Amino acid sequence: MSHLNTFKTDITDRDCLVKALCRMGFTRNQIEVNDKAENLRGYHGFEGQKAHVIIRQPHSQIRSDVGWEKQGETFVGHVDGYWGIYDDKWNVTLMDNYITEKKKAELEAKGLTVVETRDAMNRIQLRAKFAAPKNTGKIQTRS
Amino acid sequence: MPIKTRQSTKPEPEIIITVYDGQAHLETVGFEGKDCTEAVAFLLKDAKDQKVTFKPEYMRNTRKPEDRLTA
Repeated sequence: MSHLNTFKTDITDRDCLVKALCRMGFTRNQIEVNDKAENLRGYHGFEGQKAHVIIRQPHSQIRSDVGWEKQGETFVGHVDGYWGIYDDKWNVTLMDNYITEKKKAELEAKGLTVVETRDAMNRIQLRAKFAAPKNTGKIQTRS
Repeated sequence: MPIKTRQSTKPEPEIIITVYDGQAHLETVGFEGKDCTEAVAFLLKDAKDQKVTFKPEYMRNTRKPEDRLTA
């Protein structure tokens, strides 16, 4: 029986996934990126899962690799949640970081300058300004 | 003779994306009706695969901008 849990994600962009993992504390050279899916090592060695983006043991900090495999348009995750690191909360934080990178890339591709900040609740916030409308600064008058 | 009341403090049009719970939450500031729709369409054009919620500006501001100027 495999210890790696396989689950669907909404992740579609490999580069943004890698950037999101870097935001989660991994260095770029700890993240293996493959054009062809490679075997993942689980608790008992190879357990049948493959992945394109892999964090190998010991960088994964658990007794198995963790990885994301492109299946069709989206990636599926292969993660061992037993060790209490890669739990639901971790996956939501990864998605937050992924979406941040994806949105930032989309806005910048459209020629907008994006500033990343935090709101009052310490949530990630992206702000992109557009050109000022023609009526900015218009003086309101009253007869 | 017209009397000057106050200068508009209309903010520069801006898109704000707040990310939490694995979703992008989109707001617009400083746009007017049609411009706002265009800005959102512009932003969401490539985002069919992502979870994005959009809160229209009028839902955040219960009073209309004209009301604020005359209040």
